[in-house]
Amino acid sequence: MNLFTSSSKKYSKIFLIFFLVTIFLFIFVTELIFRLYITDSHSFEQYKTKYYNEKAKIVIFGDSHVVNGINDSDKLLNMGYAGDNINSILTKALHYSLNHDVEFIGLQADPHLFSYYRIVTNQKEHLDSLLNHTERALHILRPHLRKYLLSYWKTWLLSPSQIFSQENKVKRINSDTEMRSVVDLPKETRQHQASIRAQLHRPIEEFQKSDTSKYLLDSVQKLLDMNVKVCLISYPLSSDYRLEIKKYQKFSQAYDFFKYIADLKGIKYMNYNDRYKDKDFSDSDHLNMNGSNKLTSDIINDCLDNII
Amino acid sequence: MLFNSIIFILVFLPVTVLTYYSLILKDKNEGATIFLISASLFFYAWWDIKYIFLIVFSVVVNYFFGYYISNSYKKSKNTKLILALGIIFNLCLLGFFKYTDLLIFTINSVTDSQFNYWNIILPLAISFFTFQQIAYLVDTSQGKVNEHGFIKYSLFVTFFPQLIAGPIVHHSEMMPQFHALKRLNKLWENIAVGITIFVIGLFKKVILAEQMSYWADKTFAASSMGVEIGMLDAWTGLLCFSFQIYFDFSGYTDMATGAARLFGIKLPINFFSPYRASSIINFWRCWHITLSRFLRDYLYFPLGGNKSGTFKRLRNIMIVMLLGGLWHGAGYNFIIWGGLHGLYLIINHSWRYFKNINKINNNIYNWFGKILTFISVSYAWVYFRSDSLESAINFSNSLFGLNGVILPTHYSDLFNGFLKNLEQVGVEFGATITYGGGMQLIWLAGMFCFIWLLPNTQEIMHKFEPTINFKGMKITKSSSLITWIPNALTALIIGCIAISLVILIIQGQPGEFIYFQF
Repeated sequence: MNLFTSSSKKYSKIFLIFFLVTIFLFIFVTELIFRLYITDSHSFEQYKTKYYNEKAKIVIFGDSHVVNGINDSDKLLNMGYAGDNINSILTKALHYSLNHDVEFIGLQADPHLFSYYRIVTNQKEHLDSLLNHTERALHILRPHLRKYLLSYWKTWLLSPSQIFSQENKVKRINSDTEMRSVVDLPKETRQHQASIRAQLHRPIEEFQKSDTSKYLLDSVQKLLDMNVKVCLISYPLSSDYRLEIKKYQKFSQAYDFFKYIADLKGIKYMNYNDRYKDKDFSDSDHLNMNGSNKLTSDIINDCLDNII
Repeated sequence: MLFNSIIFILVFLPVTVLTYYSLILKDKNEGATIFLISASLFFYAWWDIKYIFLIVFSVVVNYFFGYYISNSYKKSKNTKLILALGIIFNLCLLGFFKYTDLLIFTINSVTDSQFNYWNIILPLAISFFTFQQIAYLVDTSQGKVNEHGFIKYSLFVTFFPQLIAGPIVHHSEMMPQFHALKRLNKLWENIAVGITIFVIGLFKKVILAEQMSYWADKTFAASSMGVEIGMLDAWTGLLCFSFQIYFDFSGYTDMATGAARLFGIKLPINFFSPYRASSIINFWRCWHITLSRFLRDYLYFPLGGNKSGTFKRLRNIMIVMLLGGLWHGAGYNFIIWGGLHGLYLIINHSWRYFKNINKINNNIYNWFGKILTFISVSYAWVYFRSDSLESAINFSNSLFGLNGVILPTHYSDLFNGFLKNLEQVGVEFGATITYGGGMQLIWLAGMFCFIWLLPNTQEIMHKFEPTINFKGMKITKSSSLITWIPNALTALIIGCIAISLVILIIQGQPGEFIYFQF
């Protein structure tokens, strides 16, 4: 067969056979990889299992500040998920309260939740996957798996053994992050990182009037209507970060706004942002293991003592 | 159902093509046409089943208007009255679904009243099938329509490749092609050409438009939230949107053309490298060509065109562009967008007059015109893309540096010697909000290469006459360097591209086409 002979019929047949066979094989092999090696150890699948199966009277929702800042115990459940925006946090809190016997919900109340980049993040797929209890039969159609589809294939092709040891690898990386302290970094680097993050974290103009703020107020009210006690928690920040956010009025306005909501709704507001030393942080605004031990204990003592 | 969704590519399109041809091969031509109409309605109903009644109602009513206009034309009686009723019916339908809330907004703003908005959901494709049917009624009233079969008329309106976002086709272009048997003549050629054009369009949408939309969406979203983005963020974001809409619409048009060709139908040319245009007049001859044609034939000419003196001609241009803007969206920002293009056209016509008098014509003017046209069109997109007038003004301020000029912190090393001078003119170094760094600049450079240096789909496919009216376009030797020929090698190359694109689609969420919202 000459590759260069012009023929529409031959072209169409070769294209269709090549395309259909390859796509079918790709879907089949991907489904196998997902089922055999990925699904059980995937962080979202583990989170979903925890969301539906683990119970505690006190449940805390938020983003990576919560994930890194609080430890699970028999009475306190950390349902933080890195990258969650305020809509996701509130939607999860409402859904969880409807479906579980929960007495106390802790909601994250950090100014960066009103930052532009966080508000615009589209987390619809993530929420749909989580809130829909039944999963799609074909694993390749699950959004949290298929969005890393090419990365899995790359890993599988370049170094097949990594797929098998993925779970261990994730644990090791997390453990490094948890033990690290920001004070080990040169001062200039710390200041620079804090400066960049503070600029990115600036709340948007008139955030108090935004849909996000309205949703926050409505959701707190709905939780209260369900007889759930609610607490707003502002998480700790390193000294460099605190210094940087003083440059922007919006941060103090955001803290005032959370306080205002707490007063308006008659709920507790705990602001921990200046209570910890820099050695408790892994970076400018995330706690390390030492910090999270302290914060967990502080939250239990300060905010939740009426339940425990 | 989106052209770039898995359900369309792997299920709907192959099943429809196979069933259609199997019916034709069994000599069931009428059945094949009815099947194609049913498949098109299914395709439309996939979005929202209740609006299927609207399109069917519109088709039936317009068919009867066409029938009565045709009869009255033969008897030379009441043609204009029935035509006027038909046009009013179409405009009322469009007006109700598209402009009710704009009207309430205007009344509330002018009279300071508080009428509630109706929040009517705009039915998909209504702007397109309304215009298409108005053109049909006008053509019928002028005796240009010879065929009046209901089944073929239904297919003419609902044919799914062009239903959602054009091209806006003429009755006379499509009806002769609806004779099913004729399409078997070049079956394999149509399949091969159709597949290739569809894959090229899919590439433009999935790779180029989606990547550009990542940055453009962030920038415009920030602006609409009142964030005062810096000048660098604004310009890079705007350029990304200029390329996003270009490749989004070009990709959609290619996919529509390719999908139609799979059934042996050629659609009219609708897009021909508009950013290569060296004037705004030429831009509108290459961008959404069938809309420009509609506005020219059914609005500009009836208004008097260029036959009533210079002032009226310029006035007519402005009216056409303002209404063209309003057609795109029910908002004052769309009217401003149309008005800006009207203004550009008036300036362009005046310049052309001056240029002809002074006999100015050289390459430098050509390149200058190309760049100026691109910048002017891009600036006008600000009003098109922003979700409100305030947001557009905020974005404009950023473009002109009124919201500050912020460069990434590490860029200070690049300008080490001039830091003080830069600070004096207001340049700051800090965190940019939406600017994507060197990667975004590399992509933008690539986009310029695409639009200015590489051949377009028509040029690549020119040996197989990809569209109707294609011969009116200039195919230069340099722009036809990459010419498609159907052989085993190109089948494998296009196959690899198609496979990669489908895998990318499986991995992500298919993005909607911009023109679907009109």
